Amino acid sequence: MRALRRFIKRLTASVLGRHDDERIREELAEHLALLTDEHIRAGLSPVEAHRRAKLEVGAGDASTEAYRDVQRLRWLEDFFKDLRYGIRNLWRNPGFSAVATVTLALGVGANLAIFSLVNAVLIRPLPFMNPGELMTVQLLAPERNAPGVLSPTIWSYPKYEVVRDAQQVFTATSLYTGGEWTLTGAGTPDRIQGEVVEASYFPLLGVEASQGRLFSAADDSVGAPPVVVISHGLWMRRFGGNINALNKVVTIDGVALTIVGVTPPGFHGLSARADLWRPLKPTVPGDLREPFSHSYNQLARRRPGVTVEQAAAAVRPLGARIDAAFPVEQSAGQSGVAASPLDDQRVDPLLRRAALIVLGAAGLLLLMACVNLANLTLGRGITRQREVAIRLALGAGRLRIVRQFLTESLCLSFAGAAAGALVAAVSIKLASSAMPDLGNVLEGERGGLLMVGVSMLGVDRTIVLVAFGLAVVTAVLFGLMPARQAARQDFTKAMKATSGGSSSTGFRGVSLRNGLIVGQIAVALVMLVSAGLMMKSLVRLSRVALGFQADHLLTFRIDLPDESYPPERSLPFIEALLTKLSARSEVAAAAFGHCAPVSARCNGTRASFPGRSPSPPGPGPLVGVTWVSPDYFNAAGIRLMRGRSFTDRDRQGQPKVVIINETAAKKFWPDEDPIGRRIGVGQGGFRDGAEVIGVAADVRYRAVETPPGPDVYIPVLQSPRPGGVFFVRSRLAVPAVVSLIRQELASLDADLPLGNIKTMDERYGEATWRTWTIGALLSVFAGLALVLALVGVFAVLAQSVAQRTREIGVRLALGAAPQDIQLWVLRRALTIGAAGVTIGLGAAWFSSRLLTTLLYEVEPHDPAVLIWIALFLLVVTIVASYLPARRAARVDLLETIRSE
Amino acid sequence: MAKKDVHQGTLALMVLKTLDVLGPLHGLGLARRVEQISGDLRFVNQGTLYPLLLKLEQEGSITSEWGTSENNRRARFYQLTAAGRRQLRAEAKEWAQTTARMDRFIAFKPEDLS
Repeated sequence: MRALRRFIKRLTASVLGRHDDERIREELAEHLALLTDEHIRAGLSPVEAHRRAKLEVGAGDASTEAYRDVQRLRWLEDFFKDLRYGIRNLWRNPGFSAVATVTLALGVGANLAIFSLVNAVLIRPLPFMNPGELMTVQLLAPERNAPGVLSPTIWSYPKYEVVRDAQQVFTATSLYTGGEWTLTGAGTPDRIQGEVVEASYFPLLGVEASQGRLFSAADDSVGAPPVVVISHGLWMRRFGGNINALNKVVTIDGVALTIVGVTPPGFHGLSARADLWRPLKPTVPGDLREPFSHSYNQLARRRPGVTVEQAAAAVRPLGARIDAAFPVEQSAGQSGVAASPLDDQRVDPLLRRAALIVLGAAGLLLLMACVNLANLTLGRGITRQREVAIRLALGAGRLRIVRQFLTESLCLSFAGAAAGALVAAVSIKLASSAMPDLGNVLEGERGGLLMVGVSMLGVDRTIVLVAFGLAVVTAVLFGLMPARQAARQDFTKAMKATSGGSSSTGFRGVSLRNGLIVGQIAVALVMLVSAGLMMKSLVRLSRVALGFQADHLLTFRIDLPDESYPPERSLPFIEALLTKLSARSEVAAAAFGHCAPVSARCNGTRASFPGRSPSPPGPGPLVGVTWVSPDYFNAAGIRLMRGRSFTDRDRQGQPKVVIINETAAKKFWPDEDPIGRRIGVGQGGFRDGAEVIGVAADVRYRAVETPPGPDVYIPVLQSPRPGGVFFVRSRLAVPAVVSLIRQELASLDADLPLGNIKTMDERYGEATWRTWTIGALLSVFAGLALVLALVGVFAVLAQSVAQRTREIGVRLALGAAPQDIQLWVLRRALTIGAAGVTIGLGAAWFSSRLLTTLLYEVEPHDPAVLIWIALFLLVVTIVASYLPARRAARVDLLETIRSE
Repeated sequence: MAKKDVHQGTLALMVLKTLDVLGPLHGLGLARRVEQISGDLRFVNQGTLYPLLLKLEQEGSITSEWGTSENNRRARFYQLTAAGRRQLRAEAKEWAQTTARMDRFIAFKPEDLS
């Protein structure tokens, strides 16, 4: 308490500059006078009395100094003094300060931007009430083809009920699933994404209504009056934020629903895309008694005091109860139940790894920026040697000198960090506008949570702390070494040295700076190799034969509401639309397909070979299945290798036919012509076999990186399946095609909205965005690293040439040719470059292994990449040394001698 | 360093006690009284007293104001505050405990252990 009081007094004295030296001076004077009087009274002569008194009081300066130290905070005042001095110093060297600030801004900016992303997506808690308690509960279904293996899957309502009623570890549970509906009435029809949830969903997440109310238990029961909750965004967009929207009736997929509430702004459910919520039981009453209709995610909140492990262990055995309640005929094993923290579902491991690698690259970049600055500061330290020497000679402590240099570095690094924050803010803004619509790439729960994370992108306390920390760390990194170097010097030597271009640098300073640029080249090499490997992956990826022609191909979806389009009406509608589109002269071809290439969302099943004897034991091979309209191959630009395509005559009632891809042909009929053979597929009513009428080129339906497997095409006219994608090939620009499609669609049904309009090129972009993003980021960082290394080599050589002018002059005087001098500098550059490249290659050997899982058909130790980049760096080093070398060769002998 | 701290601490205690017993004093008077009471202590340098007085004042143990000395000179008089009195009591008690402990140690003989 007393110490605090004293600290505050000293602090105010220091900060307000209340320097009360008068008081001590006066008091000492009075003390002296009193003491003199005393001595005179004791019988001494006035002169002797004064002398004795002075001796007893002691040196006034020492007392005053001690008094000052007690009165104020010395270190704080020193800091302010250093700060003023530092700022003045930096102001007087605008070139150095600008280069330093920009270098730091780039380094810190890159780190802040990447860290903001990592923070939003990986670190920041999910924006729900006590997110640490939230868990995902999954059903573990026995894998039919791999005995003993359980694969996590989603829930059916009856199975969920078993777990809900038996568990003891959760305070609440809720099912939820995504949905997409057409909102009609009052304006244009609108495709709206939403969620079907239980009444417990909102309280579970801690979400309360911003207007009206959310679902009650009464809303969530079969036969309840149909209600709906809308998002704040939809409320503003569609209803202008008008309170009258409450209790309004809207039509969703033909069903009239009453709006009862609005969620808070920014809340879009766990899917991050929901604008509308419907209570589960009245919305899907049919599902309530369907134990094998698996279509719901389960969310749960852990009871306080129950650990994650306890919760997981408690629900695991509940699988036995599910099996007992809903036995399966050919059971492949026992089911299980898994519970894991919701947080674990945020990012898939590959993306997590990618994020950390990019963060690492940003860190290396900052390190290089620091090395560059340390080099610059060291160079400046050499020219400031005399200043430091004078201060040392005047009695300044070496620690004080170090502190002063460090304070100067702090000024710079804070300026750099502030500029870096700006760089980060701008680049995040640019990046988020350039980002593809992740919603279509990232399906399911994981995608949703990643989007929830991205929506939290912004500055929070962690970011501010990181920015502050980066500033301090960089200041220490680039400031400490030069500061120590400056303070360590032998000041008599520095004082003796003349001002212009002598070799007053100690051996230590030179070797330190050489070591720093060697390190810099090594780091640049590591980053260039990483970027090179990613770029090579991208090249390989772009050369992948996709099997279809992505250009001039537009895709869109039309979701047909079940009420107005029962199965027997939907296929004729699709056919009618295709006929109308194909009839337009601007359209080269129009088709319908169950799933678009590179979308990773196609069906798979098992194939069988009726008539082949002996029939092989066990389940048949896995094949991909795609339902297509007759003109599909033409529209998508898929080459038909043999046989014929589907025609309008291949419909229901006619002999069943299929087209297979090349891989299937090679795999199932290695040595014979597959045309005319029979294959059965476990879906679409083709189990008993169909005739193969054609072989199509392999198309990448899954990820672009995944090599094609055997695929089977089924004519949609023979096996109706209305959900899917329309393909329109046209030379017209996209907006013209879209308006043409709208026209034709409106002539059939004005109430149907177009959804998911995308060119095939866009779809391809989304399918490769991760590799692209990582490649682009690493390339940008590697490019910056290269520039930093180049500047580093150039600066060090230029400075060392400038400092060795006299030595060069002497060499010239002794008969060295200018070419020799030039070669001497070049040789030095080459030595540094070679050392850096060698060390860098060693480091890259280890670091590029981290990239293995992100590369596509490129080895992490790809020799071509390593060799080319090593050579490239050597060439760059030589180029950077060219100017300093030329300057060294042009040193004027006479002038050098005269200047001494 | 540690030696000086002990000295500083004891000197502060002496100053507080002197002010407690004798009431307000100026710097020289205080120095003289401390020398007188302690018997053998001599300030090598009386000027060092003032930083200590400032520290005690910052801590709120004493206050000071200008006044007139016994022979009509202007002088700054130091006076104990209530907080200072509390501090004195606490520190005196602590000091007594320390010396008692030290006394026991110094009087310690081998047979005391058995």
